[in-house]
Amino acid sequence: MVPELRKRHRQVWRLMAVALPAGFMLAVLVLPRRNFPDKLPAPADQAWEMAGESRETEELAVNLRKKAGTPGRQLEITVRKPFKAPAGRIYWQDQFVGSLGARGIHRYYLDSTLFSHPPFTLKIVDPINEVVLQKMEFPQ
Amino acid sequence: MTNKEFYIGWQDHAPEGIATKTRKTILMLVGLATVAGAVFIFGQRQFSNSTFELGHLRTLEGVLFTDPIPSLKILAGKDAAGQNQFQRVLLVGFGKHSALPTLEAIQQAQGQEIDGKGVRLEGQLIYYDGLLAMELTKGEAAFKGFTDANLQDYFTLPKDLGSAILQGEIMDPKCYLGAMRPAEGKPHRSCAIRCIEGGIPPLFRSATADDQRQYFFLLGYDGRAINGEIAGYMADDILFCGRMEKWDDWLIVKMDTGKGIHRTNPWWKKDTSIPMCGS
Amino acid sequence: MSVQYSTVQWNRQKRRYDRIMLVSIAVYLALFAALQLAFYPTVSPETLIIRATGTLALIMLHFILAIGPLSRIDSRFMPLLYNRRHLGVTLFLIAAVHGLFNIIQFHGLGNEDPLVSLFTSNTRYGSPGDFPFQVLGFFALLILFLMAATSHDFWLKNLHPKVWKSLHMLVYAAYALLILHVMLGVVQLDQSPLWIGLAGLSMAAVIGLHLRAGRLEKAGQHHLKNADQAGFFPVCTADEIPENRAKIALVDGQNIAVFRYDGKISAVSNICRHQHGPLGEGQIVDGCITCPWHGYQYLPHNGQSPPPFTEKLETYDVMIRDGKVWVNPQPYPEGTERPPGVC
Repeated sequence: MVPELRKRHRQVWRLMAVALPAGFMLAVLVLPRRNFPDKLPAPADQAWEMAGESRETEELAVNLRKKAGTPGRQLEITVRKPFKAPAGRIYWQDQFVGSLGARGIHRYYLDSTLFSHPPFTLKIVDPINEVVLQKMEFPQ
Repeated sequence: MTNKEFYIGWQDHAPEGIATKTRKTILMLVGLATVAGAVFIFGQRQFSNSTFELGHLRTLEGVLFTDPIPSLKILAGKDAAGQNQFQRVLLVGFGKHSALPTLEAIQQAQGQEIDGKGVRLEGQLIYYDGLLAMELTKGEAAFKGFTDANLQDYFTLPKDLGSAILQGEIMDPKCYLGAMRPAEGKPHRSCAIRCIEGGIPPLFRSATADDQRQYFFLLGYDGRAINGEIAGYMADDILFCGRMEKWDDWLIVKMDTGKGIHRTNPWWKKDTSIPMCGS
Repeated sequence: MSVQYSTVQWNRQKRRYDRIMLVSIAVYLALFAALQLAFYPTVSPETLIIRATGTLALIMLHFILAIGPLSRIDSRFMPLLYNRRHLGVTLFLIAAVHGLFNIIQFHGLGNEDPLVSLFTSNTRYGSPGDFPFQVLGFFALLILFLMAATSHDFWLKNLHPKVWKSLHMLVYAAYALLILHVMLGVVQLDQSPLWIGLAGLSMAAVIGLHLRAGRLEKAGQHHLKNADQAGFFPVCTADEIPENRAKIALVDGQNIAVFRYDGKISAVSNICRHQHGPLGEGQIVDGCITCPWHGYQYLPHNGQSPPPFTEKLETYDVMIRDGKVWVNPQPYPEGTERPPGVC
């Protein structure tokens, strides 16, 4: 390289040595902060008291809950990891209960008539692909 | 020059010392590249398991609703009280476009109103985290005929869930539910703006620190689409005041734009003047 | 050295260079895809391609930027410099795949022309954090395209080496744009400390190498002073110049390489006609001054390339007085034979 070009290289890199780290630091400083609300905005049904066993899989955590003075029970499904499926229909003893929602806690009311013949079966079905995504048994 | 060996590129062989040094250097560079690539890979956030069934056409049947959010309401089942329960399927067009032009074309071709009618539609499914969308990939050919389902059986009233300050990010649901991974944040901002300006209904995601989520389709306070007003806020973490409703399995939020849309970033300019929301 | 136009003057070293480069690229892409699919199986194919080509292009750019100063610091890195142009053109092609996939994926199939959308979708040009980072990548790709398109010796000759070299210095601007493209883009979503650390370290390494090479060069410059009445300047003693090597001297705006060979001393311009390489850092091989960059050759006593080549250098008068080498910085026209000084 001719001396003047080498000189220009030196000048450019002296400038880069200041400007690049400055730009880099600025980019780090302006990284967006992640902010989270304390709770989800739409109101959810209150959790009843725990009743019976819980079940946990990679995708779901399932609890049965009860409330004094109420004949039915509450089915609490926590979606931990969404199924890779277009739909998730929830069936308790082959009775349709509702659809599986987004990651988080969902509560469904189970009528007392659904508790007459133990053991009880919970099934999550994808009707579009006609597959059972999850099946669980509850002894009582 | 620091040594006596001299490299001439057009000669067949490099001097031995230089050749050895070059071999070592190349190995080191390939090693460095591998380490850099691995550092990049293991620095990534995990991708969602959203799905876009590219190349796989399916037919769904239900009752069509075009306004304010094009959707197909399909029967999910009957609850213990014998009431019909529904799943709503968002309809979107090909590419970054609304489904409305396709639905209008179908209506013209059929020569009759299709809104509120039982129909069979064919398209590619897009789904994630409890939400389902269908891309009317083949345009007018997506229409596969009317069914005998009637509006009366499929009619449900929205349930009012009250007002709240909502915090989260507006997504374009087509990408978020499966067309792209990742489909959020800054790298996806331009794409999200394209989709929303193309008429795809905006989807608002609110998530807590432990990653519980609620998704809301976003409308104006009067229940109309407000894509133009919110396109500039895509990929931002925002706060706004809105009235929430439940439409079957969907959550809807009607944004009170009069009270403003507030960005929580940049962090040093955090806007704290969030108005009170009536309930 | 060329006497007629040909697309690439292939030789064994160039073929090996390209082979190693292509194999390394294939290995990187295969490893990247394998690791990505093994540990992040739900990645979309488009994202996989975008991230594989993006990281590869960045890594290659760092290597390309390091080769120059490395070979100035230690000449044993010269083989890496020899075919750097092919590395640059390949970098552009890989970056172009990255850019194209991004433009199609993020801006295509919409209600706006993809190239217009690139500039008009995110319009927060006034905000550092929200700045449309894809625009930065676009301009970096444009620079890489300009460089790749003009990389052939045809352009080097027609644009003049000085203009060509200046144009190719734009790669430094492309580097700055790409650092910001990454930092204001994907880093803002994933916010990985690993990425930030890697980017910072790589950037520090490239800057450090360039500053070090610059300092060494400046310290090694030999400015001549105290001319005699005939206009000759003292360079050094003849013994200070190793056999078949040169001493580089700067005087009166002239950049002169003073070579010693076969008990003789000759002085020619230090600037190779090809790419303005530093001839004085080369050697005399088979009786010819040989440029360290690409091996262009010149005869020391007349500055002419041996036939059939036609490149010529300016020559200078030299004389040996009391064992000391003196040079007159008044150049003779290119290719003028001047009698060597005898040691």
